Amino acid sequence: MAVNQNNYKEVEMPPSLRQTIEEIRSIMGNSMELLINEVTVSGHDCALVCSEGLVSTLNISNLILTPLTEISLGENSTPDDLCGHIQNKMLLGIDRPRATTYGEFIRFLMSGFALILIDGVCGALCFGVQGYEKRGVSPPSSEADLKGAHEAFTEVVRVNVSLVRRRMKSPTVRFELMKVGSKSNTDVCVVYDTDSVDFNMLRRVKAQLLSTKLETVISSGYLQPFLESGKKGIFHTVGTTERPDVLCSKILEGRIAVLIDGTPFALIVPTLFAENFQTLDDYNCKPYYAVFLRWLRYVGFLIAVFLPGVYIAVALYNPEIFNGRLMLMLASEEAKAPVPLAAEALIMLTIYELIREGGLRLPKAVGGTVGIVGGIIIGDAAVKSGIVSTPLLIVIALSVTASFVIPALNDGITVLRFAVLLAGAIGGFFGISLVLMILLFDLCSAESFGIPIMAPLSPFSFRAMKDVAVREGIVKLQTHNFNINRMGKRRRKENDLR
Amino acid sequence: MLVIFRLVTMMTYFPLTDESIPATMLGIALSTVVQCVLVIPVILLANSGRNVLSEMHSGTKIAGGIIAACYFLYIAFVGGSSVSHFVIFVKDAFLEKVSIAVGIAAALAVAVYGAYCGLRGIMRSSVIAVFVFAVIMIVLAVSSVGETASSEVLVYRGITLKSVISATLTDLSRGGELVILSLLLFCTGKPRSAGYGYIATRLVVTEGIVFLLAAVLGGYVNIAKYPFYAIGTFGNALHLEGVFFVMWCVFAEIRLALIVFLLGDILSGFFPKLPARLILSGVAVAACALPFIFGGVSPSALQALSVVLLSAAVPFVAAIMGEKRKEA
Repeated sequence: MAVNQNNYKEVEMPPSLRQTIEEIRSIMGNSMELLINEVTVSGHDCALVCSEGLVSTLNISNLILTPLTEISLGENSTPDDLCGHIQNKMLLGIDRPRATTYGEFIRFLMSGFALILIDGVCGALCFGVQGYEKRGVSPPSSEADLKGAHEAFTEVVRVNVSLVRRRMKSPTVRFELMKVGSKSNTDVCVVYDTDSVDFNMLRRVKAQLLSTKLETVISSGYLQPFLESGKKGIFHTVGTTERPDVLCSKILEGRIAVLIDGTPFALIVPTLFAENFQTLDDYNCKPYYAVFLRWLRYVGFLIAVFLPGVYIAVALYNPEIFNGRLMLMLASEEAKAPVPLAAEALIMLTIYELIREGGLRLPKAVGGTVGIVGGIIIGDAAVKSGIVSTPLLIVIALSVTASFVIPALNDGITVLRFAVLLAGAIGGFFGISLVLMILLFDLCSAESFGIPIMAPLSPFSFRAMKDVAVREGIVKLQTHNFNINRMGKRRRKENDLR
Repeated sequence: MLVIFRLVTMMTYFPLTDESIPATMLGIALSTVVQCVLVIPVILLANSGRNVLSEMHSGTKIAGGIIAACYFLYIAFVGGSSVSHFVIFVKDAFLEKVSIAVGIAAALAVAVYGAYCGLRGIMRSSVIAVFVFAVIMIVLAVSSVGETASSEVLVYRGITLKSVISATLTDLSRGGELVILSLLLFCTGKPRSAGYGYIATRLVVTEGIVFLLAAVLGGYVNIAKYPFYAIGTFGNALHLEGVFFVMWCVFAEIRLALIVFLLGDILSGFFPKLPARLILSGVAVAACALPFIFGGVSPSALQALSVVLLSAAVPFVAAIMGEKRKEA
């Protein structure tokens, strides 16, 4: 049966150079980037195969072509002699696997390897001479900080491995590479520290990665759902980070990181909800200031989610909670607005979300327009025309600003804010309490590979709370030697009372 | 979790007490002693890793089924009472316009979701809720320092044998959490310390709250419809009624979620493949709420008997059956 793009993966490569070249062309469909250069080396027919744009032409010519042309084995040499000479006596590259099937051949070809075929030898010799264009290491776009490193992961997994390895010069930190995606064959690297990792959890993570039935893995979001265990909840139970320093600190705590080729965001499991409120800068400043910042974020989360809904609930159902002057002032402002208070709030929140999303997607050249349109035209004009009341605008602005403090939870906060607003408008404090309970039940039941994400608050751990409720000094934190796996305790099956 | 169960009872049932405060506090202490005795058979059973329902089931199927049905009805009855009184409180105190039916449906819907999240979710939620409650109570106690009238509590008044017995029975009749304890104790690693630890915590929390209520409200505590809510409005520096209301809702939902979860679990013993067990349990609780809303049923005396039977007598029989089976 003829080899083609549908059945090539397990097919062994034949010894005939001509046949191999034809089958490669058939598999690749004569794709324009396929380069096959036939050459004679020491009297034997050979071919150099590579993918244009993925290899470095300078490295190919210096490291491979020039040394190959200088080989002289004698007239009685066989193709196997030539293969053995190249493989064992010449160092044409640092990464030198061997491909025996077409599946391996195509994968190496599309990973920037140069492959040498020798007439009479099964398989191909592969040499890593990657030279594709890639983005340089730049500051993180989403996890900015003041005193930490200004390096973020890039789209190339091997560069990311080097960023981690530069910070963790210990043999206990391991990197395991695997392929995920039936069509993309994306390189995925699992990173862990053998001194602190839970090997059962590691096995589960690797098994879940290998069992994903995806054709392509374009970004970390494709793999994230496959690593989320248990009931689906409002917030992610798999963490992400763009920073190599953060990843290093996480794996030292017994977590497992997953680097994905093609995306600068690494996945981290298990993760705790409290980590969304922690930044690297917390550990670069004095503990008292770090505690202040932590609590600012906790309060910011509550303000971001609940403030609009609480304001609506109080204004509509329990205005007696306001003091007299405030109540009169709010009443006079709301009396001028032509639409009901709840509708005003929904309109303002929707406008904010439109402006935010528009600002994210607009080209940078016209990005400033969003600020002018949103801030001046809509905000100022809406208030001056009386469509929206000033106190409500202040409440919405406060809530929105508070959400900027915890960008990691932006998805959940956005939706919850609307839910609390509607609940407050329909059911007052009762409605808000019901939404609060749904949120609490959801968070408290969520687990990340067996670790409750609400730990160390619930289940409570006094020791671990020293880095959640406060930020203990670095010296004391180091002596505690925190490990995430201690957060999950063995328990009987509470859901089975028999 | 069980402390929250108890707090909801204290918060919702009105009046808090018919007797004088000193008699009430003495009655609570005596009730605690009785509970310490009642819980012994449950601890014995739980020490061997068994649960009263599984033990009865493995005895005879008919007896086990009847006992499980009794537990189901009692817990549904407690749930119906809880949800109806809670929604009536919501309507009275904060949200006049709410329809009782809609309120019950909304509260039970969230409770079903909580039960769906599992026992671990409910337990962990209760830890956070109790922690926040403790903070609020400290704030309230500090803000009420200038407003207290401790003479209401400390002066010997109204302590008679009849009043103490009445207070004891009242406290015992509101002890539905003992039944819950008898079903859940085997889940803990150390049943004895968990059981007695809960009873001790319950005693401290109950006495503390009764003291605080009496000290702040004085004689008003006997006639206040919702004494617990009333102390929020008397707070010196802060208007805590909104916060109290939210805490009340949180506690009530945790209690209802636990009830729905247990009912669903009992149903799974009868009908292992029944779908939507939790929703059916929620419907059962809603159905049991009807007599309290429309019939004006009061639970007291019957509840006391049920508590004793289901939390002590049944586990006692189950423990004996288990021992006999072991010997056989």
